Amino acid sequence: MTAAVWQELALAVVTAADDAILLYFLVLNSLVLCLVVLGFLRTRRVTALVHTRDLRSRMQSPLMLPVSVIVPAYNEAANIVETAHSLLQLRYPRFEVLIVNDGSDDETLERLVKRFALYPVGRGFEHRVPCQRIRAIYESRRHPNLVVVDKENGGKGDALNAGLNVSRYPLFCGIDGDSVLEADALLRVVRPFHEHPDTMVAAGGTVRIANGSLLRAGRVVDVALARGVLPRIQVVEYLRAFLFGRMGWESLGGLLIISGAFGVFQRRAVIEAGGYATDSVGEDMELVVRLHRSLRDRGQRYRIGFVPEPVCWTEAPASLAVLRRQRTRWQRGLIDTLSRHRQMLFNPRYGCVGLLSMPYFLMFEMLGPLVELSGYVVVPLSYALGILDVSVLQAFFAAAVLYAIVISIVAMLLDDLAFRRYRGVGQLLSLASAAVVEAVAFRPLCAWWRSLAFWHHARRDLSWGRMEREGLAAPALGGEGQGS
Amino acid sequence: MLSDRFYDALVLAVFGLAACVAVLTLATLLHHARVSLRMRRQRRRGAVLLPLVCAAVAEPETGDALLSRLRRSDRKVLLPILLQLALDLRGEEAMRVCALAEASGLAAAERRRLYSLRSTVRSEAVKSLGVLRSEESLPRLLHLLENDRRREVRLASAWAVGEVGGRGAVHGLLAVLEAPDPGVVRRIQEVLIEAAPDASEEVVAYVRRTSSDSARRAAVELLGALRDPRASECLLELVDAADPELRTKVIKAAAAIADPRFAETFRGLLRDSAWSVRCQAATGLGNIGAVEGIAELSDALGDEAWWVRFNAASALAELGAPGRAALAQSTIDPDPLRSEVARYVLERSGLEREAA
Repeated sequence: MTAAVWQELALAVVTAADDAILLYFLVLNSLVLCLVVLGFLRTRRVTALVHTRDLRSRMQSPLMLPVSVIVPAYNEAANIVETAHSLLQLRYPRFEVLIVNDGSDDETLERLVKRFALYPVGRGFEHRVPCQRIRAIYESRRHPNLVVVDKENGGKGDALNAGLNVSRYPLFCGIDGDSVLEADALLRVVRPFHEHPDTMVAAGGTVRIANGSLLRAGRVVDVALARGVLPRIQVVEYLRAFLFGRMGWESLGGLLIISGAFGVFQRRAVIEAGGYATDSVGEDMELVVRLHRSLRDRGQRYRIGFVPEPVCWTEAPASLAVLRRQRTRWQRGLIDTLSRHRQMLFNPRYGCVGLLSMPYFLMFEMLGPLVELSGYVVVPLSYALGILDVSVLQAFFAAAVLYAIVISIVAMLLDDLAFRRYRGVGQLLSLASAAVVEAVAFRPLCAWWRSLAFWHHARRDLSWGRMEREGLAAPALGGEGQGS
Repeated sequence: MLSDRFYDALVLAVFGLAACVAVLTLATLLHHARVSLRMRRQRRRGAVLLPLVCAAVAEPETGDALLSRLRRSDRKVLLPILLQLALDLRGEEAMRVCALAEASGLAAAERRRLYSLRSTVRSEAVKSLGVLRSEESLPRLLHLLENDRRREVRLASAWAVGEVGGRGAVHGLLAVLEAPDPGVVRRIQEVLIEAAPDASEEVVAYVRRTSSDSARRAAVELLGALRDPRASECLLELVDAADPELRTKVIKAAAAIADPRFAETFRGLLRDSAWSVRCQAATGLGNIGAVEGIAELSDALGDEAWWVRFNAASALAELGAPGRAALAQSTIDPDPLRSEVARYVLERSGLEREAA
């Protein structure tokens, strides 16, 4: 072939890539907008039910299902006592707090033993799901509903499995060691299990960012925004993707993620599905997808829900380095889950999950960063080759950024309509400006980090990376390696 | 290329999107500010109205004076005040708040909202009428409980009917126990436990009357939660039910009621094929304080199911010195299942005494 033919071919490819990228962004943003609006409509319906007296009566009801709250802890000595105290104060008729010390190198266990007067007990349990050796089980002389499991290190999924083996109650709630639950969060998140007693197998609650908020005695008493721009950007992101996005998927019956920071599961269903994957960094998503798969394979009627009003407060990464590690880990988890369950993709047997959710996650969440990055290469290349006019380039970039901002502001407006968590016009303006920074600078950065995850995944990297935190209640440092 | 062909559309979209950003941001801020202002105004006006409402509640004859002083815009302020007072107050005073809501026409307005096409509006109205214990709304609330197409409204109606209370509400709620929606049935159970703790006679009559297996199971579960010994006779009739699920619920209810007449039955049921039945039978023996069941409970310490072993050991711990002696004896049993659970429960019961 002559050089002219090659040149023509290259032009055609670049032109097609330009068109594909434009269409891709249009479809992606439109889908996200639809999900956010769907999520809001669903939120309005389900929150119409909640009532303070209603919660009070549930608190006294003997019919409330007992819950085991499982907290995996790896090198959480700095804040584990505070976390345990906060959990023991939860308003719920019958629950146990089960802290799993995942072979910590620091004083996590010692501090718990000392503070809660723990003593070893011969609490029998069965190895229903795989986990590393359990060295000892402790109960508290001060709090009969506190149980501490000491086991060898195996990662977060392994620690959750150990908790699952030792737990006794029909429901369990998995939460992160650095999260803070609102006092009635458990009462609220368990509601779907009572409304659909025959079919509900899992329900997630909303995770919000606590950076900047005032905590007292393990409770968020004043909601505020952090000073740094990174946590603010993540507030907007959480509203759009983790609150209304997930509500939207829930209303379609295709929810694929219940955050590891706060989710309630039917113990029996999780055990039958094989428990948490111990060799995945995205064990929360993997479990939900596996639940869908195993329940559909067995032809069982089931529901996986999301409840918008119970809130779990978590600390968002405040530095770029920690955020990068978090985002690459999330992306590795996504790649791992989708590749493990690739048979479900486009498979009508799995209904909305196989035909809608998984293809969406594959095309827009997993491959999205690659397409976005290719856009940053192809579009300037087109401009350099003279295919793309500078005005078209500018219009394309402006449209992509503005559409993303529109979605974020819609999410903010809907959050204000439904929950009104952020007080004052100043806070809202601050979030709106964070939405602009997110669309212009944060998303490209995230796309780069998430693209790196493909490389990490190919190297079978299972590490979590060091997760430094400033601490919500007290300064806290997370673990390294196979952290829980 | 596409982007060239659609350049004009793209530019238009950019302007449109930019306008959207501006409008949405403004809308968000305006909405927030409007709600803040409204709340502030309501607080201010509420501060004026609250003493008047409290006076009207304390002295009903001043109610007319309050109503005559109301401005048109005060309705939106008065309803939340009345709802809050109705939630906080009990007895005669709460009834006066409800009467005030009727006299001011607010309850009637809420009743009209029960016919709204929007389910969120219906839900809100149902909740308000429940808080106001509006007896006039009972027929409509029962209708919504049974027939509304939205389960959110049905669930809210169950709660509201319970708040209204009275025999009519109890009968209405029991009738819907046959509903095909298990979530609504569960809600009705919760409501009846809280709102009608003395309704066991009606529930017993319902258990005997109903032809629906699921409704009978739900009603038996309810009897256990109500813990009324008057239900024992009815439960004894159902102890040998063929349905294992019903049998488990009957035994659980009997264990909660702890009528000594069940002792013999519980001892026999410790050998039942269903582990859940054995489990409840062990708990029942402990609750009754049936010392004659110590031998059977000691045998149950070797049961294959952990919960049966644990409940049997806990029951032994409840049975005073003879039970504890049997438990202590089991700690040196060569069977690790028995010794482990006996030690565990002894440790725990020691702690519970200390805590007490």
